[in-house]
Amino acid sequence: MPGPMEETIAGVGSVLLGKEHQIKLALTCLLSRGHLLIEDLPGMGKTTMSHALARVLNLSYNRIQFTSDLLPADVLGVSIYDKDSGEFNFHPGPIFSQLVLADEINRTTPKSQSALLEAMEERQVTIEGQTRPLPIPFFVIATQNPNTHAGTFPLPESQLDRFLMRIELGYPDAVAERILLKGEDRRVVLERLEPTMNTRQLQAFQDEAEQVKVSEALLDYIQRLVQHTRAAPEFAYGLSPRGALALLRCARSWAFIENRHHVVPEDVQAVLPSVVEHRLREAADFSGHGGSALAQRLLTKVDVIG
Amino acid sequence: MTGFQIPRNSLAWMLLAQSAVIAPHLTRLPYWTIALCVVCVLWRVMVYQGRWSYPGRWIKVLLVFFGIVGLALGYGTFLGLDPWVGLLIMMFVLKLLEMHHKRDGYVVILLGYFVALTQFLYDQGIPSTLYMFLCVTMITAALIGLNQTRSHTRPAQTFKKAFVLLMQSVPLMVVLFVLFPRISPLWTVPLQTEMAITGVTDTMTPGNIALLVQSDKLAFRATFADEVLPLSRLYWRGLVLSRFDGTSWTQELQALYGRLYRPGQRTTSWQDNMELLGEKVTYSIILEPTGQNWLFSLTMPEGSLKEGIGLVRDFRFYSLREIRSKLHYELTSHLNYRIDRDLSDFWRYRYTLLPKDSNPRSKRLANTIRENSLNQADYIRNILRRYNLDEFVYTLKPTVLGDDSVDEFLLDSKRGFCEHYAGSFVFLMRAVGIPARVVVGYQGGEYNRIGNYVEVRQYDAHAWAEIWQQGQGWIRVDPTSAVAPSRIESGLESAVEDENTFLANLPLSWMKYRQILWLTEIRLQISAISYYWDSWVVGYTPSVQMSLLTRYFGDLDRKRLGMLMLTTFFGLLGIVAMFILGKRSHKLLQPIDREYLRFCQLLAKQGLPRSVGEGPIHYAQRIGQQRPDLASAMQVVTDAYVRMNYAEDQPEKTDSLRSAIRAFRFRTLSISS
Repeated sequence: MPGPMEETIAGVGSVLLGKEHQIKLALTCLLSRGHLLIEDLPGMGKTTMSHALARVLNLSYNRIQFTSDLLPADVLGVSIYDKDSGEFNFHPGPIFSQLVLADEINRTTPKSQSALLEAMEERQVTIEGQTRPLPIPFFVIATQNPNTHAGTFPLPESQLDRFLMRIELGYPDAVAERILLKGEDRRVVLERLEPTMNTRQLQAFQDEAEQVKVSEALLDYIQRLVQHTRAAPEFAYGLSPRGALALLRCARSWAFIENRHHVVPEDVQAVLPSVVEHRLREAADFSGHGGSALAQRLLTKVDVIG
Repeated sequence: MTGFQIPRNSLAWMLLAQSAVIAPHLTRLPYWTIALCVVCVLWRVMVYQGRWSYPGRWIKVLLVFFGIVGLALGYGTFLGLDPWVGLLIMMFVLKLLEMHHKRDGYVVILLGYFVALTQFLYDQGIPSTLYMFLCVTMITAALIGLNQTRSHTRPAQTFKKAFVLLMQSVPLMVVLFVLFPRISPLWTVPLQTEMAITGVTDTMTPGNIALLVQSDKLAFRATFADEVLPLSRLYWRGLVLSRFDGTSWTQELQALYGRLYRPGQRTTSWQDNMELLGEKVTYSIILEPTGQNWLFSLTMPEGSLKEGIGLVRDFRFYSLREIRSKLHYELTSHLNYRIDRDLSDFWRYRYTLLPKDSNPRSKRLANTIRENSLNQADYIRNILRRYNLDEFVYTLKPTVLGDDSVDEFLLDSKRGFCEHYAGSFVFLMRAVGIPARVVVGYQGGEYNRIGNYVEVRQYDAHAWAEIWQQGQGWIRVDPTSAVAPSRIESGLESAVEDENTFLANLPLSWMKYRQILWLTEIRLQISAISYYWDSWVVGYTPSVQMSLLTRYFGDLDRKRLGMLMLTTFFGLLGIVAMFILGKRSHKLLQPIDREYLRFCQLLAKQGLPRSVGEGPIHYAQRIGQQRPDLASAMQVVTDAYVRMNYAEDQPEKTDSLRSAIRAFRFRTLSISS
């Protein structure tokens, strides 16, 4: 059974070196039918990773570079009058694709942001009164620069919540960086990547991941975690039920990738930071960057057994 | 200036608590200090809002300087309690303008507790105590607020937390109150618990008791050890007046000077004149502050009171120091007695002395009646019959009398209150050479069956007479009983029922509505509560503490008392701690979790504890790295646990886990041995 999942990870890993954990998290997000937000500095391999994922999973891929003058129509598509037929013809935008990379989403105006976010939530687009379904599977990877950079429109909390996970890639370690520096161009490697599964298989895996066994003891653990965020004073507000569901879904997918038929606390702990960090805020911090410390505290303060 | 900004919650509660704590002192403070308070509070609020800045150093120095000068001028002195409390309050308020650091906030809060404490120097009643509890809660809320972050914006929450905190500390407070070794203070400040002092005075002029009985204020409460005597027998002696100047009766100072008698100190012989026969009654009294020196007792009292209080020549208790706070004392009175069977010539002269030219008509009247009487006893009977049969009226509105008050009363107006009857009776006795004196005190009272005590109020004030008979000594004669027997049997209210003058100028007094039953019930309840408060909280003196604790714990010295307190204190804390710890283990652990946790403890003993939040698989991996020898056995246990707990839903059967743990235990044992 191990085949496709490990191949996928290895495939992406051959392009994005030394980032196995992040690749697994991205895959977890995809298996959970959620959307992914990658937050990091430019040049850390955000685009490379999404492109590689699209290739190995055999998904149609589009990239939208978000700029400050981007309009919703540039994302969704537009109807153009055809002089010959005398009709309006719909020209689908880049969003009509199975894997969409929304690059630097916080560079554009809230209006264009919300066009994308609505499409993510509804998995369909309504233009000029006509509803058009988006392809299946539909997976958005949005990247954003840390909010503190100039000229950005930070996503509000309610819209961050639309992303199932938020991850950071971080710098590669010395070994990986050496290989990167010595080796060939990553773009060439990318071109060589072979798909590891087709769309139908991917959907089957998604269904299977939902069937992973969750025991009462594990639900207890998740509830304790959620309860802690709601009761402890250092949290400005607690996790919502949607957040709790997200945590469970991701833990299931992670267990699936780990080739297990039941979820163990370690699965929850593996996904927890990326699932909850962007949904929490430290009580003493108004800028909203305390999330990672909070997640760590959550992990060390709430016992697995109890 | 550092940028310290006090949290909003803290400032709000600080200012509120400050106003609340100062409020009871308002009547005692000069007006300008109130203005100063308002200015300081407003200034501080302005500083908080960033509109004004803190005052400069010179302004502060000037404020302090003029404040102190103002206080000195306002009170005229820096002696006594009021000016110092005023100074404390002023500093408390001024410190607001100096809160640059968090530590200054602490100082203000600490001062707040202090000012709250000073209120008890003035009043220790229940309402005042409850109010101070509220104040302390507010100050504590300010203290909590000072340590909260700025995101706590709901003052009510902070107050609630403070309240819960204080309520939790009540048991410890009770332990400390009951058990903390009480030591008498090294020095005493004259406490001003009562500002306007009422009660019987040492001068009896016709009309002044009638004025006193207009008040329904409490005089004292008396608890009897056994049966309560009938009210008509309760003659509470307070003062003996034997000097008469024609209008007023005053004390015989000869009877007081240096004559405090304490049991066991048998230097004088006059107390041998007391013959005690049979029936006696034991009772304790909580006397309200009177500002006077005399204590009240039934005849003939016996007992040992504290230093400075003793028996004087006319057989009543007298305190060298004025009674300025509630006084609790216990006495035994002998109801049958014979005192001063013989009277020396000196005293006989003293007790028959009358001013030469005063009240000539009464003297003549006395002589006439004496001539028509067979003997002294007959004479006394005739006088009393005269009060009874002649047109004498017992009234709260006596006619105003002139210089020869006895003449005018006996022969003209014939309207009088108890002091008129007692005074004129003694006059008539002395006029024919019978030694006699006036006794002032209270008569009767009201029995409170809830608290089982007799409550004596100012309107129970009374005056009667004592006459001396050869061979019998001093005998109580109450001429009022001849004119208005109902006064003695059922109290003043029924005696003056017809003229409707009972508490005429106190229309809202509780006492006027005694016929409304439920109201009386409430009044008795309130009175009983305040009685218990007085006797057990305010009256919990070192000696009361010792006798109470000795009753339950046997002989106690300071050291053992301290030990007792500490054990109880930490015992209580221990119970609380156990409750908190118990709460955690109370949570129902699944049997499998219990097994696994026990296994973890086993490892912890080997120096390999599982940290909080560490999952079983990670734990096994870590142990495997640290102790490769345990790795495989550990893996078996972990696999069993994970399988049962997370892969199955029915973890009731713990057998396989148990056997795995057993195997592990065996392995570790064999390794270590």
